Amino acid sequence: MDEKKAGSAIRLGLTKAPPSSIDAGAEFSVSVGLEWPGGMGPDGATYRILDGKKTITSGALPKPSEDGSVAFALTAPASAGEHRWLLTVAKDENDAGKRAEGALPLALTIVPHATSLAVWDVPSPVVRGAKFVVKAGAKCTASCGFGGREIEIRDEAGELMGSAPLGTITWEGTASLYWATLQLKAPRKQELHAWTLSFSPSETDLPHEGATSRFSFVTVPEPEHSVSVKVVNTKTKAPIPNAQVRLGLYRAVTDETGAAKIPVPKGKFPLIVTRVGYEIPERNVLVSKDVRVRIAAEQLPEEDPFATWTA
Amino acid sequence: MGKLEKNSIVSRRSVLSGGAAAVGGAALSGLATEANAQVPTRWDRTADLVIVGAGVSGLSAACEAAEHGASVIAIDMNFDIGGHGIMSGGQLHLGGGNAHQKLEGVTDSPDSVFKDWTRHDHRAARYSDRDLVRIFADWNVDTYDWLLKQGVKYETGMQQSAASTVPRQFRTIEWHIPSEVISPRRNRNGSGLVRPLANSARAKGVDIVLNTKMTKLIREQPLSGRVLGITAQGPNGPINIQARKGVLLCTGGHTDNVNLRRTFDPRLTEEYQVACSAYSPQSGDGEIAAMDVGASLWATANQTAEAGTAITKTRHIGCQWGYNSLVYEPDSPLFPKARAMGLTVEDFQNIIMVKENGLRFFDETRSGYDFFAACMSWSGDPQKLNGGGPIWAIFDQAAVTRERWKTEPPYVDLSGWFFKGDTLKELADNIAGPYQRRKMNPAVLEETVAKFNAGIDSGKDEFGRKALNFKIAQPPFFAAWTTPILHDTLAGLHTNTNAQVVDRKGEVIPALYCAGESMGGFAQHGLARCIIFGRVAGRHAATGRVASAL
Ligand SMILES: Cc1cc2nc3c(=O)[nH]c(=O)nc-3n(C[C@H](O)[C@H](O)[C@H](O)COP(=O)(O)OP(=O)(O)OC[C@H]3O[C@@H](n4cnc5c(N)ncnc54)[C@H](O)[C@@H]3O)c2cc1C
Repeated sequence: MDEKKAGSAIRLGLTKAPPSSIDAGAEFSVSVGLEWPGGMGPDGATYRILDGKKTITSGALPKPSEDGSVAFALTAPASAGEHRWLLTVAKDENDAGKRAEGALPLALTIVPHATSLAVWDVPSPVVRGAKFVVKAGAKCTASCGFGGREIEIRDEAGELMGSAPLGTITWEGTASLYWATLQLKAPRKQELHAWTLSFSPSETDLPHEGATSRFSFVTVPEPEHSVSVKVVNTKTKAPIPNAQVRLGLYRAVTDETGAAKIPVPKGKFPLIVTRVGYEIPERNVLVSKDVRVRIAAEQLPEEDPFATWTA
Repeated sequence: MGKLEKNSIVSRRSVLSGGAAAVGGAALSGLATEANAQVPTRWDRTADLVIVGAGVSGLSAACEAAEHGASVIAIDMNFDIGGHGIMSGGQLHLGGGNAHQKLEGVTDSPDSVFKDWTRHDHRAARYSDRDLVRIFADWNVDTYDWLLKQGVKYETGMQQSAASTVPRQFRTIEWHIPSEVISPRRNRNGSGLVRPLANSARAKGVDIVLNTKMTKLIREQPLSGRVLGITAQGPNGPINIQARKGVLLCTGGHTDNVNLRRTFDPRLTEEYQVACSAYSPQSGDGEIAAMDVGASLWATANQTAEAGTAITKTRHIGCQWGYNSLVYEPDSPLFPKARAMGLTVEDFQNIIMVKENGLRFFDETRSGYDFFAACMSWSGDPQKLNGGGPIWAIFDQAAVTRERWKTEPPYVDLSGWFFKGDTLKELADNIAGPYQRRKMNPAVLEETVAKFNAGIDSGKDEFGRKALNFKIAQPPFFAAWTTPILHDTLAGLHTNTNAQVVDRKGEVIPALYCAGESMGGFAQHGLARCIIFGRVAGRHAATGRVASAL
């Protein structure tokens, strides 16, 4: 338009905007398209990114990609909130000594790192009043190290039931889950409990949001007797290992001899045994003394005819 | 082979000079080309019978027609023969009192076959066209013997299945050359059916032309007159193939054609994959081309009768085509396309299933049509009311240990079919497959798992699941594609008992045939009906004799 003066203006426009929200301190990129005043090109141009008066980064303009746009790899501010940066591009004109310049504001929404939790190896049922341990871990979306930071477990009423510092080594198989073992004590009341693991990291280098996670377990009375379950193949009488036994609230898996022993109080318990490839009838077990139960499991045809039909 | 066949091969060779794309065939004689612009002025190739699709029904028809003196060109769009048949388990459902049954001490008759497959109390039988079932029954024994003559070999043993009240099911033996099995060592016994059939067909002079896709049928008038041939897209461009006695459509059904399959069941939207489409998609091309020249559909109730395995539960999870038996190992020529073998589920109590919204919807240890209906129920996506969206198996590291899975390629496909996370939240954040239209809400997934885990504690599951033994708790966590997969087509074109296609007025379309899964009227799953009606069509096209005169 105003071509004469525009000799000194470089026009900038976003071809790839910054993400709508960026983790504090995280790396991100933006791409910018440039329109050069007559005869000028990107060679020898420089850029600067400013936060107010403070220079965030500066240097030679990165090489434009095939479509002419220039990508900037940037590191987000460390504090959460709205940030307004200014990207400036400049080029000194060799002959006339005229300087061409352009600027583009960058609006950034910086958020604290999200965290998330896991609780595992929670025994259930737990005998009322008994001590037990669980494992719990915390993870940062940006994989920040959480070693040494406290996690805690609270009951339904918000009362602290246990806490521990996270270890410095991540849980096997995870990218960056820091974890700890927590010692807990089961309530006397017999019921299904839903407790909460919480983590609110403070004084981290970068801001983090806390997280909570619910887990459950059930409490039962002290055992008085045992139920010994033996699972065998109806036809061959061979023991069936690895069958899942569920006796009321109690769970077990049969061993190599097809056996599982479950300590229980007196009472009547439904017994459900499952094993892939077997049909196993359900029954009730009445416990007033130590009990032995033999379960005959009917092996299903190796493949259901309908399955082989489409095999 | 009799003299007649030998003579016919000689005469056929004189017509079928040159290879697949031989151009410059006979000029079209005397037909009213001016009256109908769709009739080409030149034919590139000519044969008595032009078969579209060199799969199970097409190859059976080719052998039968050639044996009865016809010259045959069979085209296939794929790079190799066999269609779904080459990937099939080779379970043949043939009875009637055949030699195999006699050996196994099974008493049977064509009448019993007819009675079983028209049973009112079996969903795979009650909706079928009994005229077709009668022909099927009458051709059972002969087809058993005929396949032996084509070089097909059978395993011993026999099973009873589907609507049959006596054992009638037995298997072909897997083809002995692994590189010709497509997915070797995985019970792809159907290779032992289609390879011998293709060899037999070629020995009888049938020209099997690969990489050539039919694009339309050519009829004298758009909705009347004879079918004269086809237009196909070959490696060197379009070609017109003239059929002196008939065109036979053996394109294998419509299951991969989302629009056509939704004609029968609107729930079957795009997210449902099809077993075998990595090798040969069921395009619906035959049905559509025939409908374009006036054909009608038949016995459409069969497609939705909720019998058999038109839809199946995915047993190999974490890959795109996780059918219940089909596995592509890394040495399969199809592996680059299939990309993963899948994790084979031994025990479904090791997983829960959630929809794209992160919610459970059914007892995961069950299967069958109530389960499928729940899978396809509305997920709550306001932009997608039909279909249920993706179904993800969610499990933890403890399940991986119990199942002895390896959660890495080549078992899982990391390009949108399998995801991992250190926590359930991270897992939900990571799920982004091609059909995952909305982001899964991590809080919903966390709540779903917490609820399920509480059910393990209490022994009460919101979906009535009985097997409640393992929580989902130990990191890391996984999501594997486990959306039900479609398997076969059970409704298609209307034909009479000679496999001649019938139009919307109920009249035969002269010189147009259909067999295999594209043919409607008989809901028996699989190979046997495809072979038999392929033979029926081949015989009728070659001889003009009706099918009942076996
Ligand atoms: C994994 C799996 C296992 C199975 N197991 C069994 C089993 O054990 N027992 C059983 O009875 N059945 C089984 N079936 C089903 C059986 O394989 C099919 O019913 C049978 O192969 C169908 O035969 P068809 O001739 O109709 O189609 P197909 O055998 O699929 O052949 C159709 C052919 O048409 C070609 N085609 C399609 N469109 C065009 C076009 N426009 N131009 C040119 N060519 C075209 C295709 O490329 C294909 O080669 C199984 C199927 C699958 C997928």
